[in-house]
Amino acid sequence: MATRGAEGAESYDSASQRHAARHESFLRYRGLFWAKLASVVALLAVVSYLLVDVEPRHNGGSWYGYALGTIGALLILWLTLLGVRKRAMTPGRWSLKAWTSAHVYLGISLIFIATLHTGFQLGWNVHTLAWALMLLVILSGLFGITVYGFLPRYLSDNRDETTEEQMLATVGELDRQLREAAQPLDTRHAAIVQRALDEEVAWASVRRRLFGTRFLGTSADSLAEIRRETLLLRAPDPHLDRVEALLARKVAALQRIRSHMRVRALLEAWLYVHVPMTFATIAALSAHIVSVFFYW
Amino acid sequence: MAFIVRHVSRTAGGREIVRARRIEKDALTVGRAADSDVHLTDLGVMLHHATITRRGEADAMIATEKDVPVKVDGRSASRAAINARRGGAIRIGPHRLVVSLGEGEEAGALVVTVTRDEEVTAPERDAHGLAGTVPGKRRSAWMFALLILAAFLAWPVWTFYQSRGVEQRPDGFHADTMWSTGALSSAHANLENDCQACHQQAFVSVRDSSCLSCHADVHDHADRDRMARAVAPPDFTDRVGLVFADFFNRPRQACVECHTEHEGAGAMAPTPQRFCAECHTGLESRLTDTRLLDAGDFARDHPEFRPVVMTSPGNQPGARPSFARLSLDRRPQEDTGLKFPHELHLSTTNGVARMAQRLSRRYGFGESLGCADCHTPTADGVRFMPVTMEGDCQMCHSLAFDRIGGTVRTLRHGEPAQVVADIRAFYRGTAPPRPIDLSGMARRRPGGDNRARTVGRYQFAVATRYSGADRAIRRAFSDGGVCFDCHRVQAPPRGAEYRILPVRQIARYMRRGWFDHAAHVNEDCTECHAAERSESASDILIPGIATCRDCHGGEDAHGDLVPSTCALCHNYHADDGAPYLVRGRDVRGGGRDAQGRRAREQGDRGR
Repeated sequence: MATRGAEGAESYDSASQRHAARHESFLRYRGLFWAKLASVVALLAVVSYLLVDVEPRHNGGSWYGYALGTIGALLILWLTLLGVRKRAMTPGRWSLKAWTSAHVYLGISLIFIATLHTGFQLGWNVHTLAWALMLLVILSGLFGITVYGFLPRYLSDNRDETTEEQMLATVGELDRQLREAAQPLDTRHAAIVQRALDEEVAWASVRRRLFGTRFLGTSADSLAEIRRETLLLRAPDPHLDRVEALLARKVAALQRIRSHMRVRALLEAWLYVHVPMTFATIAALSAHIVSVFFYW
Repeated sequence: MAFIVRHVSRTAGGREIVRARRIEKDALTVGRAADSDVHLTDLGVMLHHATITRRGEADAMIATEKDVPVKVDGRSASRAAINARRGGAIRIGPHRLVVSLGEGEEAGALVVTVTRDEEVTAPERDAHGLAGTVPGKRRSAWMFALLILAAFLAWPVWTFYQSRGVEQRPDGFHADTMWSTGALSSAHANLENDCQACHQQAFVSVRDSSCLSCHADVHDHADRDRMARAVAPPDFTDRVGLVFADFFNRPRQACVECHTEHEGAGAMAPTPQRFCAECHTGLESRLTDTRLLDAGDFARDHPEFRPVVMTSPGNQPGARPSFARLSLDRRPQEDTGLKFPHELHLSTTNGVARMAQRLSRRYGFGESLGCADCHTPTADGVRFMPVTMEGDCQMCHSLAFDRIGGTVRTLRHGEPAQVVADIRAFYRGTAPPRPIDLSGMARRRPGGDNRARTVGRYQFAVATRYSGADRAIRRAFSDGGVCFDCHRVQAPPRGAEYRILPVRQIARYMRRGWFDHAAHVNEDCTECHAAERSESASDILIPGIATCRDCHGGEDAHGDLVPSTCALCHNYHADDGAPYLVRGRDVRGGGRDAQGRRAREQGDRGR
């Protein structure tokens, strides 16, 4: 800013171009404008909560509770609209980046607004359910932002200049070669190879997909078996040696691809909580609002 | 005798490619070995898996190596005959071998058509992501949303309509209890499972009728119209509440406006002072004819006490005493009809104290008289019993006038006519003390004169003794006499009797407030009541508000001050019971049951 002032209006264009060229993440958008605004909102909520005297104690049914509740509910609906908004990218003050920045920080301030709305009166009821689901949504969002902070670097390191399609194609090609190489093998060995060929690339279980770093899979088992077999042989079998080499390559390829998938899954998983839980929150919120005025 | 082996495969585009080979043999070898006649590539196939042998024009036989069964026309067998005319299908792993009779150029040969089940390839998708592995976002969003709406909205609503008009629901789970925002207070805990007991109509707040169905004897605070006029105009915060209340059909001045429920188990929270102060500050501007003074907070905004004072004792026959609420600022006096200087009786240095010491052993007085020596608390400890002559005064202020044998005769208190009669009877039934010279043991002095004179005088005294009663009576009723000491005596007009003006002891000065002496049992009486300096019974010894404020602050008092809201002393529902907070204290104290006490008090009123 200072240089721009010193160089005068002439350099404005180039400065703004430089500015546009430099990547500014939605987290740091406009010098943390939305972060500051959300902090002010949260602080206002806390201070007014402490100052406003609600008898007999804070709850959602006081005038203050209604005010916070209305603000919170509208905020939730607006935050949900990001799902609609993100499908149209526009630049400018109300760009998608601005919107996302506001989404993140105002979403965090919602923790304060909604929690103060409860007056810390929590229990096993639909009202607390709505609050808990909302927290789940916010926390999953925070998780998403966090993993987006450092996992992509790991992802590209692991990929080693290959594309996802290439990684998959490698495994396919190795499978084809394995099948060919196994043709001369006898039934027992062929069955071992078949088990390796039958293995799916992606883990079927989500848990294993996300956390299963210790699982090796049937290809690795087949490799170990073939290695045991070759040790028992008196004379080296060129067919088995070739199969063994191919299996070893396949296991390595699978490990890399699974590592890739694991990180991809970690990057995506939050959204599978964030989005459905958002709608669950809105449903619980509707039940909360209706029930409060149904029985009041 | 020949076989024709046709291998059928498909291109990526779905086009069929058929490769046919004629084999002039009677038996075909089937297996993965490269030199097999029917070469099957699947790794599940043995190197030499089976042999198909021709047995005639249209018949063939399949026999498997090592008796490993294959599927022939759907049945598992290690040896099976196949008729080519009917057509036979053999399945080995993913491969299908169909045996048929050759036609046209191929007539005379058995045709074995080999197809392989296409490997089921997954549809094109992003295999790296989670899509497809976990339920889709859109689907689970719908699922969760609908599930929650069904469980937490539709089900409770259904339960509500099921239980309308039901007085008490059976134990067990009822879906609308999931809507409860918190536990009910201990008084309503039995309704925890019966939402419909209070919430009777959908989208209609709890109506007074629900409350009144149990709380049938609750008094209104005041006339409803007057109350409506007395309410202060809403401020900003009220308006926010009113917008919601009006929008959602919530009536004003309902029970639930002050009494909020679902605030957690335990005693119901007392109604905040704000609800009182809303009307009772600036009341005169809205309710112009009111005689009530403004009160907002005990510490800041409360008028001086205005006890009910007897302004006129109504001493004339047929008249009744009149009372008025007078501010203690005006230092009101009242004519109770009694002469009783508290100061004299509580002194530690005068004759009263000396007398108390003398009688201490018998009556339990200490070094001097104390308040409790005359004032006895009521059974509940809230107030005091009236002081009685017999119980509280007579041990010192004796009405004894005669002793016959060991029996002391006393004047009848409270019945002046009886007193007069007793005194007259005394003078009539007794003789003056007999002079010593008239007794038989008297020593005679010379001369008979003296004795005769004594006899004469004594006879005169005896003859005039009865008339001495008048003097004694007069003395008793006048200044220095036994009645006059404490009472105001009305001198009789000629021919009538003495009249003692009635004594009126006020049991309760604060009719609109509630002061519980039992709650202050640790305080000295004289901390509040200036009895030690009171020289006249006409002093009203009710302490002013400043005395109370030494210990009691307003609603938001802290530190050493007792937080005191309106409900500590005042009763909104205008019955004769103790205010809510005092009842609560009793309940917590465990000693006395507030309900029982109310019942007792109502019984007292009945009498």
